[in-house]
Amino acid sequence: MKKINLKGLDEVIYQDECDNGLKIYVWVKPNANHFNGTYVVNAGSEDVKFTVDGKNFEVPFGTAHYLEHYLCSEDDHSPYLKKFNELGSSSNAATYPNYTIFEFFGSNHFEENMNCLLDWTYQKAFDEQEFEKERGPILEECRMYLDHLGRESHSEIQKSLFSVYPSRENGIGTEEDILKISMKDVESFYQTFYHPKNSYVFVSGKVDPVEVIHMIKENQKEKTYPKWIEPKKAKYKEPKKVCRPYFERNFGIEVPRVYISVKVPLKNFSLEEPLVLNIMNLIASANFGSTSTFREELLDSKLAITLGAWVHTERDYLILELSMRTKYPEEVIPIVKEKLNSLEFLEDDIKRKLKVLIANMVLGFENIDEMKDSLIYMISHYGRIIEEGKELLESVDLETIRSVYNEFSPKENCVVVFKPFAKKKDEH
Amino acid sequence: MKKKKYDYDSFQLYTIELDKFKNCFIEVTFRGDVRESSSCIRNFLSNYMILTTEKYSTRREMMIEREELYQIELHSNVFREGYNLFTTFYFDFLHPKYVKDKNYLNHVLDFIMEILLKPNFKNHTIEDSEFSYMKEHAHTQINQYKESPYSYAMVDSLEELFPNSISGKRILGTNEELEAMTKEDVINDYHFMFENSYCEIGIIGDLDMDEIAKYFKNHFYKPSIVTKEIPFEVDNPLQKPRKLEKESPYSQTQLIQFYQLDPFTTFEEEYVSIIFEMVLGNAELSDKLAKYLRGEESLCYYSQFYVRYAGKYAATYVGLNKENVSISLQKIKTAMKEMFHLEKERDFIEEQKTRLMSYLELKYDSSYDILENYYFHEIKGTPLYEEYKENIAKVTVKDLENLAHKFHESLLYILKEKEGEQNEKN
Repeated sequence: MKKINLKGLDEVIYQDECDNGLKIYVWVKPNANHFNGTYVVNAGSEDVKFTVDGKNFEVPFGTAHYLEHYLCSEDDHSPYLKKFNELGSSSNAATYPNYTIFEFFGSNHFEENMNCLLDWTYQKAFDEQEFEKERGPILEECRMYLDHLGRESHSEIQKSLFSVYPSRENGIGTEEDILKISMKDVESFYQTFYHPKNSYVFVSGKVDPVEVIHMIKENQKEKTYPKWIEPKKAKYKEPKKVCRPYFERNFGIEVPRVYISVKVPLKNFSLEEPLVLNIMNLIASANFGSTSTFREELLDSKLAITLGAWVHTERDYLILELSMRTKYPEEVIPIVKEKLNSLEFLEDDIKRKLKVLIANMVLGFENIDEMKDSLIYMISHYGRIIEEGKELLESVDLETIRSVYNEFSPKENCVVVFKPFAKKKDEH
Repeated sequence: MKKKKYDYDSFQLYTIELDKFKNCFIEVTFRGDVRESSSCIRNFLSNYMILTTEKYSTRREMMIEREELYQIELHSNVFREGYNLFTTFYFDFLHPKYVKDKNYLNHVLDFIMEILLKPNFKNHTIEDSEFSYMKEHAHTQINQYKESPYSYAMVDSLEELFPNSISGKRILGTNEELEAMTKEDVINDYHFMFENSYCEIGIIGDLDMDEIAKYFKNHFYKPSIVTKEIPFEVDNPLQKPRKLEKESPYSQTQLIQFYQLDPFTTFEEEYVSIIFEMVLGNAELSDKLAKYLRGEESLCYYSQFYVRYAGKYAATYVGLNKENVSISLQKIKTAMKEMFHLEKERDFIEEQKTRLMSYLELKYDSSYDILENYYFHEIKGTPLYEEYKENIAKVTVKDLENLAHKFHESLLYILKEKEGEQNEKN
């Protein structure tokens, strides 16, 4: 059992591995009143093209999500989630672009909950009738999202930024995709990716790590899996240029939204991705956040009602995303673009924001469920828990920040505008 | 966990000393009678108070000070329960032991006083630019419900169900109310809020509460003592069942079946109704609605049942395809009918009780939830988590069956999806 000390945060995560390859992470929170167990499979909605033992597979978008639904529903004609209900716990499942999670929350019967979790995705039989029953709810879920601004804008931004990346497509699939997904697609996805060597368990809360690890290992001893053949996920070579520099559409909103996104290859930066991300978020916040004079002026002049900025990564690229509510998209876009071309290195602001970032990191560990999600993202994205996160941030000096600032270029950017539908005469 | 109440006549402090979290949390609530105030103006006022103050007269200055205080989290909320209008200011900050500045806690408390006692009413007015900026924001907030079919259906259906009752009134008000509001209205409402509301301050964290109480006693000022009883329930008379269908621009049909309620006993209100909700429509995929609508018929992705006893109503919600409205209604009726005869579901009911107990344990991991529970216990008599655990166990099948008789079908609201192509694009 390896002990990972998150330096300066008074947090410890224990790590181990079962004989069959299933990794275990246990984050102990002695004061917590509840626990959580999450089973993570490293395959998600973007894994639509893969090769197994020389054989190529291509499944429709939405396949990983359909499988997640099927695994929740399928169990002798009653939902699998009912098993956790019987133990007085809650459960959930979710499909992300690169991984899928199955989880429970509870405060009693840890062992029973954990065994139930470990059985959830194990040796599933596929039944055509059960499989078809899930199509209706998935189609309704898809229709529900059609009116969801956040989902639709994200989807259009991805389509504008990227020409090749699968993030261009809707994770749960379009109505057409969903109708196309066959049980064979779902089954082959399951056979390919749902294996302990491609999964891990993350446990958090009031638990004893030694007992938890022992329990999981004992459970896994009873299980037999086919020989693991590592699938090769498709690799995508994404051009540096944005796919659609400008795009607009109408949507059921009251005030227009403008999204301006900048695409920068991560290889342009000399530092590691997590640090670049933190530093770029500081720079973006200083220039566009709530303490920036640019934002204040934009809002005072009523050209924008809100302005937000965040930085994230998408495979080989760093993305700086700005979002605005504005009644005057045409006027605002050139002003913001000009600002992007003349980002300032605001020393005092950056110093203050660095202090805030560190404080937030400390406080973040108070929210067990949110932090658990962040740690899972970290493991699936970086392949490890970053132990030295706080130390790294504390060691950042202005020169380091300036180097990232100098390596950033806003040249490749795209604009997505959502406008309200024209109102009929009798509407107000 | 050490709870202590400090009564300073015109305001009360409810404190919980607890060494569990790295943050501390303070909430300041002004609680008045909704019939005497405009929630539209109050919402504007509360947003204005956290945006700028006398000392931090621009939004930027305010944000810089918040960052200096290690990003103290600050927001306000205006909400209603029965005839009570709550205006609450929330302050969430890092425990002083993580900060080098020895005066950090005092700085935080000074900042809170600045927000509460020194609003930005320079020369007894609000600057034109700030007033119009805030109005623009408020209009956006008011109109936002139209951007989601679920929110639209919730707001619109309540207006249809209760056109003449406070229960049907939008808490944010209307665009017309907002337009008619003057700067004087906002300033007057600030003074009205201080003079005519109960003021209740909740504090949780590993802090010396006697010292904090002393600080509030010396620095906080509220002019008058309020003693008026404000009911936590609105008596909405029963209405005959009726059906209302409306067209919409959305992609999915929204169906809400309302029920109005006969009076519940306290035991029913506090405990039985929660289990009733879980069995009928709030148990993940295991509840009756999910079983019939999603599990058996594949009609929907999401369904829900909830009770709002403060307004004496309950509702079943489903998002679905318009072709499936009739069959869904039949299934909803079947599910509700089954609530009269639950003997066969004894095990399932016990499971839901256990699940609720487990959920209550989860609440102890949130400083906000612990404080809210204590606060509502003190002002309204809502059970403490310990009491919930004790009494939930006592809920019987018979209790649930009896409660089913108190639900009467009322408005059936259907917001129909748009015709033709679902997702128009340029």
